[in-house]
Amino acid sequence: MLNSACVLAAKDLRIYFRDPAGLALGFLVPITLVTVFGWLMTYAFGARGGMPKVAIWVVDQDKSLVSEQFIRNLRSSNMLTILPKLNSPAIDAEQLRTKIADGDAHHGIVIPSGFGKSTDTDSLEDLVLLRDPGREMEKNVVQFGLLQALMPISDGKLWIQSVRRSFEKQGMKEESIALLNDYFSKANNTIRAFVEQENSSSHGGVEDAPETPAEADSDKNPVDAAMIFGNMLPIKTEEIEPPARPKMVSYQQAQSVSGMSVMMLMFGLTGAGAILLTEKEQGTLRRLVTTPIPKSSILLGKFFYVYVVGLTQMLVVLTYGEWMFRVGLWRDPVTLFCIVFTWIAVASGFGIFIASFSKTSKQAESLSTIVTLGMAALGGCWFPVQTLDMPVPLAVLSKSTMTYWAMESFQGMLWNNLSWQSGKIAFALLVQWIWCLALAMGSVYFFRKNYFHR
Amino acid sequence: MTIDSRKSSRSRQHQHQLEPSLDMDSQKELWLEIRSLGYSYGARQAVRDATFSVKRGEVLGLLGANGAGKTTILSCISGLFPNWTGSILLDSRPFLPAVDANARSCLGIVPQELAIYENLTARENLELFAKLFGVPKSSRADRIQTMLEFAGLEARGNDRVKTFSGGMKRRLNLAIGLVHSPSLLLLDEPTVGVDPQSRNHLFDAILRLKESGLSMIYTTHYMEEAERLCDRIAIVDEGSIKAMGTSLELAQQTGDENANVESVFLQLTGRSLRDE
Repeated sequence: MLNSACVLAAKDLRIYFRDPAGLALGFLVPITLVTVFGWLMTYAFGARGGMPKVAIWVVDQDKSLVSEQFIRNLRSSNMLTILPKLNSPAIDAEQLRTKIADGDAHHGIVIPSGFGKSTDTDSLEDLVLLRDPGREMEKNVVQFGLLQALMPISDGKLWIQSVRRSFEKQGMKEESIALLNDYFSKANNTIRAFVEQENSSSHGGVEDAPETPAEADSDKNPVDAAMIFGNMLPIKTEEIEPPARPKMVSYQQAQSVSGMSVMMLMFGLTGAGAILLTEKEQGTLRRLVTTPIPKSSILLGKFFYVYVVGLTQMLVVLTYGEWMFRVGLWRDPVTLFCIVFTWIAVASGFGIFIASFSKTSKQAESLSTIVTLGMAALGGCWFPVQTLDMPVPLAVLSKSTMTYWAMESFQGMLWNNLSWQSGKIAFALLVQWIWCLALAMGSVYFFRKNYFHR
Repeated sequence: MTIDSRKSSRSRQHQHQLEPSLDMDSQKELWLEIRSLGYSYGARQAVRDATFSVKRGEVLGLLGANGAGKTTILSCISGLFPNWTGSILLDSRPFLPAVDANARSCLGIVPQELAIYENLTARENLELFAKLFGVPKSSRADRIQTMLEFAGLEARGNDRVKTFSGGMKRRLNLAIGLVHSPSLLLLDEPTVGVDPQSRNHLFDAILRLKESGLSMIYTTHYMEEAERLCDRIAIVDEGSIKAMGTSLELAQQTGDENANVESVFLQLTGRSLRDE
């Protein structure tokens, strides 16, 4: 029995290795996926791991040496990407509010006039944090990043002020705070002495360092570190949300519904487009070609078929998505239909293109897997690449995928609450139709080349 | 009937003027002439200098071994392969189905493979091709019923083809090629892989078509089929026509008037295996 099984396995392997194109594509699938995802994750989480960098806009109304130093510190943060970038035009607070309301930004910090001077006093001027409340995921990263940048600008004094502020906000009595303040001043001196010692000698340790109250209590009373850090920050928070966004929707839900809809439709329609290859392999295509209808109508007929399949799939997915997650898909039906009809056209064109380009079903299967998963990753279906600070070549590559523009339009509607008339969605739709046209031309070319020239 | 490949009009009106039919009057006008036909698959010359003709109402058999070039010749005539050399004339005018929809309307094709949709019923298959060939709606249902009866499938017309036997599928394959009443029928080994009963049914059907005056080109590698069905036989070997004529004429060419088609065939093409 084992011998027979080996003989059969050897036969299958022989056949497998005799389709060089299919074989190459089979190896290319994992290589492409590893490359694309590895690349993206490197820029998302950094080569050594960690959190993705969060983009935050900065408006400097103070324009003091302190505020400039604060911004420099922010720029050196490994958690934050600071916008506008160096040498780019600055924006004012109102422009920042508009950006957040339009969904073009999610966090911004305004450094008010007098902030620099206040660092020499006991009463620190509050920074103003403008944020989209739907981007909860980034909130803690922003707070840590701001704290990290604030501490060095006052030689440790701000740290004491910040701790005091945190205790005040948590309702501690003034006398207790004064005692603790005194304690922290001493602790600060100890830390500075320790740092100086570390700088002058490579030896040393922290065994003798005094235990802080937080550390002392941490085992007994677990605390919300994010809340403590949030309270420590001299910040007034102003939340800005697009007015018609459903209250329940989160960025992750909008991302999931958009990403999965875009990617799964590509998979579905490449499968449907393979009917062209099936007809070729079964011989019915030859019979169709000998009827009086134009050859192009065969291709167009397949496109219509794939389109209807896509439309059905999309309606089912979107209806289910809305029922399940209440992401507000149907609040602007015109925009929804514009986006859905456009993406189905592109995905249908893609399915037909893959079928026209491939010579066998096996080739089509491997090729569609590579291209779909690659484009899905680069275009942001799996991970919101819009939140990443990617190098220019990768950003260009990402924007050159049709999935990127599909995600732009879906996210524009679902998350930013934009209509089809907005510049962002209209442009995304235009790019997708250009893709559709290119795919149609490519399909016609390869259909004639691969199906009729022997 | 006249077919001008240079005419590009594909209007329904014009198509109906050319509406092919099985009646003898229209058949008398048909005359297919193939001159120096050549076709290559890359560097391999599959058909070389093939010259033959089909008279009105005649069944011409292309007899050859597997890989002799029979299917390639039919593919050139039907327009599936557009880049052939030589000339194909119908009624002394260029016949170019690859670019002329009217020319395609005149042709009925019965491919070697079962070019039918297994998940459709027999009636749906016939209806599809009737629509694609522009059979008028008023006569379509009658025509489909006639074809189902012709194929002996009237009782199974509404069943999906995937439930059919091999012979039933072969008969449907033939019926689809006839649904639009073509003037010239190209049959590419239509009896491959069928049982004797279905084979005889197909023979009877083809003989009935022959009696109706339909011109046909019939490829086969079975000698008895060629002898039984064809008025003339062209022996094809290595892409070229080795001999052509009636069974008797072919036998005379070998110098033995009593020779059967098989011995003529072997004498002309040799006994070595055709392993291409």
